[in-house]
Amino acid sequence: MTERTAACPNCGAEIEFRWSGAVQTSCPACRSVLVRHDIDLTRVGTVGDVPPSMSRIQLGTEGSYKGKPFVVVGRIIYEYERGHWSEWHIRLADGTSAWLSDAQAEYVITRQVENPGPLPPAGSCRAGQSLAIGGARYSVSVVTHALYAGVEGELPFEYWDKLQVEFVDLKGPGEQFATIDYSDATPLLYTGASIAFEELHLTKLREESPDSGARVTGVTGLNCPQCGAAIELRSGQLAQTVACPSCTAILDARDPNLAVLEKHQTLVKRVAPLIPLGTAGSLGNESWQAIGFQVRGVVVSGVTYYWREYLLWNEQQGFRYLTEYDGHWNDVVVLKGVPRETSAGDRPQVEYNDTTFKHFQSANASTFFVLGEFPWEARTGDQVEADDFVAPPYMLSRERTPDEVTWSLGTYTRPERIAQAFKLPNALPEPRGVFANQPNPRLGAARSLTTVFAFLVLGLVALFIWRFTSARDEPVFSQGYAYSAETGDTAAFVTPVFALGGGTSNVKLSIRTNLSNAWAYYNLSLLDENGGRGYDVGREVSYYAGVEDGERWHEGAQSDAVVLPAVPSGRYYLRVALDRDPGAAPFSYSLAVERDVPRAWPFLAALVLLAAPVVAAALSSINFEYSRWRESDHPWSTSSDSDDDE
Amino acid sequence: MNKIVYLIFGLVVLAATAGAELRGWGPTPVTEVKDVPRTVRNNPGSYRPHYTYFGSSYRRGK
Repeated sequence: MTERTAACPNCGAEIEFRWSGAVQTSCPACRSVLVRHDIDLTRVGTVGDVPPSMSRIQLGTEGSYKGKPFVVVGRIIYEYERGHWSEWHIRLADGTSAWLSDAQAEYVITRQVENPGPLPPAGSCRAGQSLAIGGARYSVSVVTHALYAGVEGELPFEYWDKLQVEFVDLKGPGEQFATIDYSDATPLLYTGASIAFEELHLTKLREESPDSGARVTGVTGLNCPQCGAAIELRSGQLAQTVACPSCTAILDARDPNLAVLEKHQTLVKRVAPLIPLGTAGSLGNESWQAIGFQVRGVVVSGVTYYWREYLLWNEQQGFRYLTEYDGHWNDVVVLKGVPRETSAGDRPQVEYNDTTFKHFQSANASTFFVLGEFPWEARTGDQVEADDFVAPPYMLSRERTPDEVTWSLGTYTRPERIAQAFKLPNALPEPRGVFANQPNPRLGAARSLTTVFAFLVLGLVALFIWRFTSARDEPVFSQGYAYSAETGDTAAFVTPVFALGGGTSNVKLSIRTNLSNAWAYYNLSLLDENGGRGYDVGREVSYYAGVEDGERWHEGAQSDAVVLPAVPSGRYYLRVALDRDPGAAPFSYSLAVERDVPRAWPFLAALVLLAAPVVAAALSSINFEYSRWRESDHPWSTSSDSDDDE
Repeated sequence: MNKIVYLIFGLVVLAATAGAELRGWGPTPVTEVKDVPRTVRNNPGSYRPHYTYFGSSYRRGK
């Protein structure tokens, strides 16, 4: 076993090893890079100035990962287009080691995979490319060409004389992460997962210093070299670009002199952010500060549709975005995983967190205006390929450049929630129109009404069954009569008395005739035997039929019926007075009276009444969805549209 | 429409349906008269109903 301490061969200072497997370390006194060969330490070089870091992780920081305590024992620092990032070498309590990647406040823990099988050669991977490695499917999220910028502490291998190194970051299902390291002739594979800062339970972190750069509450002050206005850098060293709030010149935040990258922004007129930059707000349980603002847009059919994006910063959580279009807000976070791409017919869709997102729109998005600071080189005219997939209230967006693919998840947020979160003095504009991932408010109403409707229909069916099984439906009178033109017998007459039993209920009067090509009019009066109450009704019965041009026709009917409502029980008779067609041939007819006859139509009418609000809500919901998809690459087509297409 | 409001509306519809069926209510234009003389049964021609057919049009009676 190796010793825990050794003397620096250069200056004699005591070198303490935190990890027994360390191959390389650095002398804290003379900054020599020391390589251990068994018990000997050999000086192979000198550590250059380690770039200042805004990370609070340092050598000796302790934490835990999946319940295993670890300590930070070493570090490799890389420089890339967005600044620096650190690969912290951590020693876990079980004696193994891993790497904690710390880039732009995003944390990933990986371990090297022994014998990973064939890996793609350097320079062959492209952003968005799908790779199957070790039985898992990954998507290339970014290809980074980084510069070695320094080492500190103990490393499991010799690593001190590198120049440019290619890394290919891969994202898999969930939050799986992998990276292919091309710093050696044989590429190395590291796999692991993204992890939130608070899940690392870090202690012994570097103390915050006033000049350490960004903190949500701290600001580094500078002046615009073009107009002299004060520039505030809230994200410190993470800021790559900053746009002057006064003259809108875009400046290189990595340059101590703030070199001017773009003198004037001319694509659109200056736009004032609705959330003033520097405003802090609470989203969830975290404090976020608005540090950047940009106007982006897409051109569709010659029309430019603009939206606004706010870059939010939290020291531990990193970056987050708020987007706003026509008063519709989305709270957007960058995904650590990659959604699974599928398709439904010819329409692409993606699966994420057991939710299917339908493709909504693809377009080239451009940046038209920027203000504040950004962790990338933000310029007007920047373009990305953007694809949006929706599953209200969520929207997945994929933005592609030749080197990077980024997935983000937006959650539709009401403007009053944003105003409340940032304590804005004035209300934000109300949303106009329907947005891609706006929840359909009418869908919930339609669904809740449908549930109630189902219960009401059950009640109606029960009522129907009860009525049709309990009604008296009782024939109380039936009599046949004959009419002859010769006798001219049209005098009024009365029927025998009959009893109507039960409570107040209906009475059905039926007339059946054998009229042919004639009419008859019946004046019917249902009269109480004792006088007083009576019910008058007039009914015409007519029936005509014949053959015309070889086709049979008929109209009218030889019978008729009428229901008298709400007739109290008692003894009644019918008074009948008949008017007839003067040319009518002799005919016969019958009159029948039934008591308490159940009817289906009131139930049908009730069903229509009950269904009307549900149908109205459903139609309203459908109209909302129509409006949503009308703005997409997949508008709902009508039959007339199809005809037109043909 | 609010779910509760719709539920109340639906219950009213069900109650109205049940009431209409129990009482026999309906839309048929029937005229109820309250002063029919008892003698009609003996002299049917003396009663003038509220609906009488004259030629091609209906005319309200007395």
